[in-house]
Amino acid sequence: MIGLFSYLVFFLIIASVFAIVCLGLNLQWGYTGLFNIGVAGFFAVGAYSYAILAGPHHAARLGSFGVPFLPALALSMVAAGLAALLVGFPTLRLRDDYLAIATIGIASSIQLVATNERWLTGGTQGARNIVQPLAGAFSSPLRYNLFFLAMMVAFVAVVYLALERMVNSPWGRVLMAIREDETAASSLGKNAFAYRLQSFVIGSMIIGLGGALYASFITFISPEDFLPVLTFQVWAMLIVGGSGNNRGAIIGAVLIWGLWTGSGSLAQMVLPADLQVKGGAIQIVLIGLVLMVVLIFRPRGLFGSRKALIGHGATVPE
Amino acid sequence: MFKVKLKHLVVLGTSLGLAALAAPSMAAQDCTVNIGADMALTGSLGALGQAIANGTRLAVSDVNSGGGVNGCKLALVLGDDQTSPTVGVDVAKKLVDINHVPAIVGALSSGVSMAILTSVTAPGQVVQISPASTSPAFTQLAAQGKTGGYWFRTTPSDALQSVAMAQVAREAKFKKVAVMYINNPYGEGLSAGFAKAFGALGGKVTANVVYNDKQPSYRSEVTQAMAGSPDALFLIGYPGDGTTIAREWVSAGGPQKFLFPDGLQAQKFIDDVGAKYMKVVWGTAAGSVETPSLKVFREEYKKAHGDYPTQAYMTNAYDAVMVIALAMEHGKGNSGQIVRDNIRKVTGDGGQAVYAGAKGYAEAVKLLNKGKRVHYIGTAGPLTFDKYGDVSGPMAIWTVKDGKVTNERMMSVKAIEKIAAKIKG
Repeated sequence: MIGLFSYLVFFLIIASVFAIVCLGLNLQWGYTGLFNIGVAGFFAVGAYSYAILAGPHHAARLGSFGVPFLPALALSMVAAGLAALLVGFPTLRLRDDYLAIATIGIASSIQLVATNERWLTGGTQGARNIVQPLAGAFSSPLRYNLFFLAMMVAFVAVVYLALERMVNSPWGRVLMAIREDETAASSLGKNAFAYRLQSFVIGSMIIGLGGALYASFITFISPEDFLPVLTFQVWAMLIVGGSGNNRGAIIGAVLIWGLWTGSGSLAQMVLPADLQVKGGAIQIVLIGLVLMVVLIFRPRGLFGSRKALIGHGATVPE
Repeated sequence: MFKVKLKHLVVLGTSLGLAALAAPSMAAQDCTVNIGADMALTGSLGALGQAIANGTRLAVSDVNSGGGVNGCKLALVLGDDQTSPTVGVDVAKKLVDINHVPAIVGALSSGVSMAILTSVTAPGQVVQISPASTSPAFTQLAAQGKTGGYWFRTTPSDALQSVAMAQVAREAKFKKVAVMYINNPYGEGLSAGFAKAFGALGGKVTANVVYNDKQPSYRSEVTQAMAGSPDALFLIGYPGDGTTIAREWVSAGGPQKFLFPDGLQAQKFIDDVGAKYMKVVWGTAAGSVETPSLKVFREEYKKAHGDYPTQAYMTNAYDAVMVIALAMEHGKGNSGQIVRDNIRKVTGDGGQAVYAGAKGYAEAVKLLNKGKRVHYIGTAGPLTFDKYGDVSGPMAIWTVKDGKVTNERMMSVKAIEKIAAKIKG
């Protein structure tokens, strides 16, 4: 029993990392309509920034700054925000498909930098011995994980409440107006580009926070952590949870991560021993199936009340 | 009243006695000891991982036909890490917390193994034996005392091969060598180790050029490597990109003298490049000793799966399970700590040699029960774990003769250790 509980705590820690990342993406896609498929890139910037800032002295790569936990998190967010600013300036004037292509390219570039710039990131060997907050203050790994989970829940709550306030403010209404009809919003004197950039940068900072928290929990990161599949996972979470709804983003993260890891156990349990080796493939099929079923029966996701300024069903004149 | 009671007592006593008699045989069938396997069954290493997982399953069935572990049945809980560190960590945590495994075989990719080691197995005091992670980073982590002694691997670190290769290069009278390596932990570890060892032995690495895989052409990397007029090229990689690079090297006028690691020990690679363009070829490869265990493994694998694929690490995975089972048997228990403390007591070179297969395992258990010291000769070669959990094995030195890949001789563990000591001292 204690084992199951211990695993559940561990599972929820990772799921809450995804929840934070998913909330960041929700601001960009759900509220502003920015098609960011470079989530893994900003996650990586946050993770590596934390590893470099909070890490102990390391001979092979940069990082002996010994920045304490919370300032290191804040600075990692700033780093991810700066990366988003650099990327956003040239690309946010692009719309839809163009932005998507640009962000996917940037995520791969960031991943390649992580692979190649050994002095900065540790290269393919990865960055290890990343500092955990309050490491050694707890008597058992389970107690430590309980503390970490409590901290993660607090972070998710803070990000959630902050985002709720933001999207329900006049600022948030402008974002949604731009999402629905950029020309109309511009005609009201709103600088669409500036708003899109703000949303993109803030969303990426939140994604970066997720990356930093991930690095601080696992204590080891390598370029393998930041492959495009991560972006796909987060998108699946947001689509299933319901884009444009912060609660949906959190619940989608927990559900999809549960499906992602649970389907493997299910395959191993159900299949006879001879087929277990092939069982991994069924897992992928199952994930695809759930995505399709959700898209067919709940196209707006489980909690998808993408609050449209123009009511659903109303037609916009071309 | 009294009579009835007596009768009851007799019945109770008899049934208790019967139960006591039945208990040992019941225990032998009913109790199960779980061990975990955290392997890439899908993802980029999926094709490799499925055969490796079959290697572990074969070992488990051998252990069970050989009498099980401490009278219990050994069960393998297999999880798929999808070649992703995040998923791999979750699978490992599940194995430890829910299946209560004292030992995990895996993972394959060094990045996944490292994430599992730092966040699950080392803090959770569970033994982790990787059959395929060769990165020297694990040795460094163990040297810093961060693994708690719970880390082992049945495949040698790349550090061993780089020492052997430096020696081979010196014996071939190469003074200046250019190195080109694939950008992954394997290439990085091997090239760094070689540069250090070759320098200490009096050679000079003229260029150390990294390349990313799956490029259409490597002309600029080849040009970079040719600067400094090297005597030979040490090319680290795999046959696909390796062929492109070797051809571009030859056509650019580089010396037709090559050094190749285990990744390029493939007849197809030599054929594709053209043996006539390779005047001098020296190669190294790990653990290719023919042990009696390997013969058993090959036959059993063929019987179970139809054919025997030519691929690395299946044997290493088999050995990992055997070593865990023998350690439990030696320590008469199945906690992570017992496995950790007994692995070195059933490997190395003390006592009697025991081999793979159900018969070999049963023989080993018999000897252990008599209190004898045994050491297990693996299917991938004799196993000796050093204090960091690294395994050392002999290296095969190979060359190309009449267009065919041929094993030339063996470099023993002692010979390599001697050279390594010379490099350090």
